[in-house]
Amino acid sequence: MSRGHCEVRLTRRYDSTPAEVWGALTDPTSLGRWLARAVDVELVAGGAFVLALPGDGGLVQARVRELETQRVLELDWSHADEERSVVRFELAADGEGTVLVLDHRRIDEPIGMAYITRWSQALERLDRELGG
Amino acid sequence: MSAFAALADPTRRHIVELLAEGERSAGELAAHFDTSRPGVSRHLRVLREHGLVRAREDGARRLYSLDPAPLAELDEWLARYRGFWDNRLDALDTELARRRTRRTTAKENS
Repeated sequence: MSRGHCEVRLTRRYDSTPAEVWGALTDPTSLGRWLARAVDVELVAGGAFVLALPGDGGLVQARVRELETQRVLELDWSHADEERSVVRFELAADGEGTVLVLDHRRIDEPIGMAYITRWSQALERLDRELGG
Repeated sequence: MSAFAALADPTRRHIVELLAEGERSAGELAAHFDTSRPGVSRHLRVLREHGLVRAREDGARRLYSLDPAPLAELDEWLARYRGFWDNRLDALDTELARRRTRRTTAKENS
């Protein structure tokens, strides 16, 4: 089942080992430099992962859903009054470096979302049909 | 139930697929299902309540069509987070370079 339109997926390669990338993903000081200020980070399944976004960005009240050292970090992402979502980082060694895959998806019924995608494609086809 | 959860029902998904092809009356939609006409009307009501489908009167008939608003909301969500993560993953690259430099310096000093 394709979920193409209902998740953000970004893939990056870094010239650092998985251990180094893992360090930057989980060390509160490092997190503060690239993601957001770490207010409360507890690296166990079910642990808190609270971040303060810069400016008036507010708090992200995340929670650790899955944790596999140097491999997987999955968070329940809850930002302000937005619907809950899931953020997943996956690391894989690639030569001297590391490939990181970031997935951010909404928790809404995935089946429904897949249909929304098809619906969206149908509307695009309709647009083209209409010369839009 | 969220708008997307409303689509977990297979009959409602099928209705949405039919409406993706264009406007339909409840009768035209019901012809595609074994479900009774009132059954189809109930599903249409749920879809309308969740803002997925809208209706307009056309003489004696009522015609149903898709409402693009939930799609627009989804697009907005995706665009916002794509931008957010794009920036953050660039910043992670900078942070990793910093960690590498620090390690190299620590080695040279030891």
